[in-house]
Amino acid sequence: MDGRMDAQARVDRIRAFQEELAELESELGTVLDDAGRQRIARHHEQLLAELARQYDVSTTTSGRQLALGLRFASFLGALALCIAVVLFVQRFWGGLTTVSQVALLAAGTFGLLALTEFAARRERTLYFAALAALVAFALFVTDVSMLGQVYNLVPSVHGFLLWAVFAGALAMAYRLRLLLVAMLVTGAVWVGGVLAQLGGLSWTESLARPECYLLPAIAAAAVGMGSARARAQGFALTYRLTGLVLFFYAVILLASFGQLSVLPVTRGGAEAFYQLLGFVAAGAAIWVGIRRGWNDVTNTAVVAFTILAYVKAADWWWDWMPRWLFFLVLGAIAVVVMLLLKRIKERTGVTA
Amino acid sequence: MIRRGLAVAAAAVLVGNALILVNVARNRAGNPDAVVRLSERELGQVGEMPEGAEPILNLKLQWSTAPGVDGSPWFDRVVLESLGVGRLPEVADSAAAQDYRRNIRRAYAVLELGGPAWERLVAERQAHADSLQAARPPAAQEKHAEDRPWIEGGGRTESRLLAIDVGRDPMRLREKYPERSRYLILPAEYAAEVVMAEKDSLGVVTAPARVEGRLVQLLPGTVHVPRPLRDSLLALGAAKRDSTTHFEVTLKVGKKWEAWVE
Repeated sequence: MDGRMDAQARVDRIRAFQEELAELESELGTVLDDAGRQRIARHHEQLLAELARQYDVSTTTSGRQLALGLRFASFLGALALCIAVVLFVQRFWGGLTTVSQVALLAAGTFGLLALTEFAARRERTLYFAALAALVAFALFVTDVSMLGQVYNLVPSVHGFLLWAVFAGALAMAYRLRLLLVAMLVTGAVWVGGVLAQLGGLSWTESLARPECYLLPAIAAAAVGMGSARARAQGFALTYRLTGLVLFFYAVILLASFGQLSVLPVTRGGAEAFYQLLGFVAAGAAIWVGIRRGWNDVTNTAVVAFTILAYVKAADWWWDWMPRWLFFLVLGAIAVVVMLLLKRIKERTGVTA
Repeated sequence: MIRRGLAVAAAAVLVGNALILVNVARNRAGNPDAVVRLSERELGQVGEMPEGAEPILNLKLQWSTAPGVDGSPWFDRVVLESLGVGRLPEVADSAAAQDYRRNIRRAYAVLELGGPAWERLVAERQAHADSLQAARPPAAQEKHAEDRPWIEGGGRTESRLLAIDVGRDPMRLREKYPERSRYLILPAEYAAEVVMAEKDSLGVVTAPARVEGRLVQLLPGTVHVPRPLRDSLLALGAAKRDSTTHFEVTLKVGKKWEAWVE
């Protein structure tokens, strides 16, 4: 079994099987003899108990809803605590000496790391550990940023590497997907900044040059699609989705605003190149998503494809077409995309 | 047993904080690269003082780019090329000029405090004020005849800190500008820009189209004022900045070209 998400998927399939069997029997009468039914029921019972023990998955519908609520509450709690940290710093920061400021930030981060470990040992579901880890990350970001401000340091891109390492380490240690996203985003900013510096630019320039993020985005998506380790850790979907969203975000920006490109071509040339790249990549991602049964990939690529089609439509027709006709064309594009997907779905038998 | 990930995260905190503190210690060790006295003209408060919170004072270096010796900008195409900026467009090629993408790069800026560049600026502003006076109708000229010179009016509060040069190697810049109490060398961001031709009301070109460099900002461009200096500066009106605000602080720049105030 590959990670918690796969375990939860198996639980869901068992529940669906049980419900469908009950439905079938109400329609057709008994379809399984008693011995077979008992054998399956015993096996499922043992399996559910084992999955609940090993992965702490929710084995009932109400348990699943509760787990979702807990995750949401944990996220909101972390957000509120992060805001509390920032406001606390704002309120009392000026009253502290520089030494106290430095000590408080570092000690606070260490304290929250200890709290994360303590919570993880006490509770297998990791809701409280996730909350503590997110606040620790926020405090570490505040720590490095405030030290930079207190000592008037020249802003450096390498702060993002520190944050990526910190978030990645906690994500791997406690299997926390939100921190994995933080690692991927801060890591992408670091890679983008370093690439900009290698190109002779200020690293901050990478924030306005989406091409700098294509490489880390492709790397993240590739890890999500090909890495057995990411699958085993239950991170494959997070890698794939973060990589694809980052990739298509960059491509759509470049397809719309060619002046953001670093390619030595005209603005129009850059836009044409990225429009083509966007359509080809979206088409390829839809194909891969359908072939491998990755709904997340298919759906992300469909959204990207549709946005690119709308951007292109706006380029071609917005200036001269009556508004009603323009939006009619957009609606028609949506219908064409739907028909295409429906055909693919019928051919492959995949639920897209 | 401690998880490996937790140990890595803790190491990141330790390493991060240690690197920053070591960098600060190295920057401030030994003789500073520059020591200058700056007043409220060169340092203005940034950010709002949050109500009910302990005050924090961050001061922003107020500076401008000095005029060139002959009136034309000193940060021109030649300087840009010396900084290694390639693929600058020919201004005659309007399509290439329009398509030129402004990229922000890093270098070191030289800022002069109250030196020859400041005198040039004063002369330029006074000449501008005089030309405005000459253009007025005779009655208005009489009304403004007693106006104080620019340096005693608007120029009294103007920052005397002017950017006069830029380069990639701060050591070489220091050799070129050895006076450490007058010249600050600080990291900065700059960009090459295409400046379109300027025309007067009759459509005559007064300044041709050209490629120019522009200093975008100093890095970080602000200095945090620690206690107890902060309290002294606040008492002298550093946060309100009006006609009663007068203060002076010593700004030092260290070996790593990072500044602090004392």
